[in-house]
Amino acid sequence: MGPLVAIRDLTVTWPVSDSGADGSAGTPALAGITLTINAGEVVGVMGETGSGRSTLLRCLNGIVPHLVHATVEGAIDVAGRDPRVTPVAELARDVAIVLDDPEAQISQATVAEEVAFGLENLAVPVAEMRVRVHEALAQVGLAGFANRHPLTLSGGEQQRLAVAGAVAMRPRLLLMDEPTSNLDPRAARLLLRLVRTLAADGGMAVVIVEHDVELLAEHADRVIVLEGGRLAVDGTPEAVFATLAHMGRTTSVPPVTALAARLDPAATALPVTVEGAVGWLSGRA
Amino acid sequence: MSTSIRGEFAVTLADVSFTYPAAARPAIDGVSLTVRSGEAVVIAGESGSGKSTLARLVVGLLRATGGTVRTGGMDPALARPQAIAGFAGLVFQNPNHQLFASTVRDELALGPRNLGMHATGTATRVDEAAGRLGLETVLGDHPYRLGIAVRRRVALAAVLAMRPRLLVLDEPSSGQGPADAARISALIRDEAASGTTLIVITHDLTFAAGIAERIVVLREGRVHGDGPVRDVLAGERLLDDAGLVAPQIVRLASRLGLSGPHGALLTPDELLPMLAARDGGVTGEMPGAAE
Repeated sequence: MGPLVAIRDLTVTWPVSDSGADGSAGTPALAGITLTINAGEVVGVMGETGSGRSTLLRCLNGIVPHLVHATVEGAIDVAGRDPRVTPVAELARDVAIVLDDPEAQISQATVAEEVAFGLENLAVPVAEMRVRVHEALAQVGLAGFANRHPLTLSGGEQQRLAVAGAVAMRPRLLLMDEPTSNLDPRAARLLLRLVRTLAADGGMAVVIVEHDVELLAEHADRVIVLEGGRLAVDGTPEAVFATLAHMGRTTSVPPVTALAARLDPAATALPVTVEGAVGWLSGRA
Repeated sequence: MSTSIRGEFAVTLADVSFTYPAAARPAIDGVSLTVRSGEAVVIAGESGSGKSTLARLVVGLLRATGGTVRTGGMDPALARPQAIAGFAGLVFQNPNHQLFASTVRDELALGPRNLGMHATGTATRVDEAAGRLGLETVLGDHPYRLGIAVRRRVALAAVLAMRPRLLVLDEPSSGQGPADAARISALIRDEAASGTTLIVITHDLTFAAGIAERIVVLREGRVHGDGPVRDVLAGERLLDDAGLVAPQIVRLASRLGLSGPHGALLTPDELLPMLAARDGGVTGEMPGAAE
């Protein structure tokens, strides 16, 4: 079986009349991106503001070019479909998205209705809908919350609710745009651990735009780094953070990786977690 | 650092409580705390620990339901708005809560103008604040045309333009990429070096370690820990109870049983010599281990 997502030479250019989401008319938001993503993989996307992170996500769910107009060149295949020629509603059966602001995603009066909302739009029969809502809430650890008002939940619980709404649709690809930026450390770790489990168990691929390098180090299978719309680095967290550390980009890597790079300036892979560093250091002794 | 003419303490909280209307429990529950003039203090805690409420009490956006708050010698909830705004500036976590004007230039001019400054003085302040945050090229733009990261810098510049003696920042690093976070961290250190008193709210202890001398940990509206950065960060159990995670290097050093002459080791630069001493040492005992 081929990869779930295959992108070849993807270039996205905003119309000149509009400065676009990244505020840069004329210059490409993404330039010559080639990338594949396999089922079950958790891929972290890093990059500074304007590097094209959000644009990449929005190409995968068809928001670009269907709702945000842009010129999209190259080839994109998501679960056998080209998002450019597939209606957004049809793509939504396979591709779900969770955004950074949990409250902004809430529209319903109870937690259960919130999870059911997407299923109703897919016209899932009522009996099956009940089962799926129940299952999804159990999967994200919100089983007892079905009748609560979503706005009475904490930020971390609201983000897990958003994930429940997404996984109830049984997507093959889950996109997450800075999902932890409003969460405290405990809630953020819980959310990423959950997503990792869901990906491993159900074969769903996850593409997550995330600033927190320590979270990516702990929970991503793979990290890609975008710079000015180009794919700068792509590999395991151990390889990507080693590369960035050797380039002197110490603020963009976990501190233990920065430390390891000073001890071994030639290594192509370096520890990225405290646990990994303890093992790596004892192996050197 | 010379003593401020306003006195030794920029902020004094004595047994302060605050309960939001209709809330089941107080958001701030009997907090006593002083911040010296010129001190840089981080207030850390998980969501719901009361840290943003504390910031609002300090600048007078909320009025304590119990105890007393003194900011620059004033009761911030009762002082004239101009008097308190001339002393203390709060930068919100969400810039959309504080941006009103239709250009960045007007946004930055708003504060100095409200403090009674004339046009030329205001223009100087605007240029200075814009320069410090790299906003020179967007002065004519509408704040909401800008991306969220730039908008956050506009919110910070608007407060800096008032040259507050006390700067209160609510989660300044949240949602910022590593380069932007490093820039904000450098700016905070600059402010501290120039004598501004700083209260920085954050749950990112790696960020905190780079900017503060002292960390106050809040848990369920109470002071759960308060001390020099190295002492607080060495208390893994205390941090865990408060829902916080110590910086990686602190955790690694602790796993390796290494500490420095002043307590927890915070950065690779601090840990590397200790590692070298351990690996090169004859006895395995490292020099300069903590008492």
